[in-house]
Amino acid sequence: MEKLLKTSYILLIIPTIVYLVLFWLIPLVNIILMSFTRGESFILGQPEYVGPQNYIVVVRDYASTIRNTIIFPLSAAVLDFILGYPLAYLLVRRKVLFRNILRASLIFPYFGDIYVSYGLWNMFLPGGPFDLFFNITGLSYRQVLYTPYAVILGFSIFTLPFMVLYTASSLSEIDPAMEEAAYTLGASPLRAFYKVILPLSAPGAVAGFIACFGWNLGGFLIPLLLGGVEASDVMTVKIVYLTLQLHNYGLAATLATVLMLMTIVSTYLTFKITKVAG
Amino acid sequence: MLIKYLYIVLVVFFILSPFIFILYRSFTYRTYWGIEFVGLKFYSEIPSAYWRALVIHQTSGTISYMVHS
Repeated sequence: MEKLLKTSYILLIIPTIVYLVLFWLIPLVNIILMSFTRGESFILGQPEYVGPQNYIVVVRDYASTIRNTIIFPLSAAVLDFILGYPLAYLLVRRKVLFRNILRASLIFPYFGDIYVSYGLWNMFLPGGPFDLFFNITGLSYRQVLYTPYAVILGFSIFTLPFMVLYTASSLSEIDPAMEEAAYTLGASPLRAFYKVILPLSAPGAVAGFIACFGWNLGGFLIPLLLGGVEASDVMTVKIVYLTLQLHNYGLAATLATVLMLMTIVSTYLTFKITKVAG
Repeated sequence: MLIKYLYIVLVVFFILSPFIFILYRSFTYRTYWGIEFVGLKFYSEIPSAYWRALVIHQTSGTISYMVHS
């Protein structure tokens, strides 16, 4: 009986393993192998291995791209923390009307970055809702759109739900009696927040911060639509450009491998911190 | 109390604004002179546009196949 169960478990897991090997492992190995080849030689079936040359080119010529790829998501994660933490706190620890509707509204950015980028792009263009703001401040829409600020704003809208949901789950695990105990011992609301709530919810907030950062590392449409020429200098856009226009698959695969490593590290850190929090 | 709700409304608007604006823009048409309200024009065009795209794809695919073979 036990043997039959074991066999059925193996049979059940086989489709998943086949699926992962075919559509995840083989492409992954292909990309890594391709990153050590010249131009489109790998695609043409005659790989010309050049060793770590592509990696040297990436470090030498794409330093600003890597810097932007890190700075934009990092700034967006900081903005998400500033906006998201108080919202999570209010939703979890305070009485709020229409709490469930508010929580449901947070899922909108999950529909995709195309909506965020296209919506923001139209909002910044002349005739959009920011016209009044531009008229009052004397700014031109070109001073906001196609700049790093627009990209950071787009990224932060896209990932704000992550920050709120991670922090909210961490805050909901804190026993309300601990906050009440702090008040009973004479702590002011501000002191109780800094001494009790903030340290206990820190792992969730940090996990949310890293999730926001990691998710935006792979952002493509937001920098492409909102970043223009100057601020679309990020790795995802470069990968597409190198692949579709220059046909330099080797260099594109190198950038993809570096980006993948960055994403893996941030995902690992998120899991590690979430596990510590749990 | 007021600050609490003001903050919530602002952040939720921050999240929803692109989606609200896309919805608004789907009823409008941008011209050189400004934005023109066209009602449900684009929504009524979805089926025909979809079929047109499909026909173009099929035709171009067939022509491409014929040329290459």
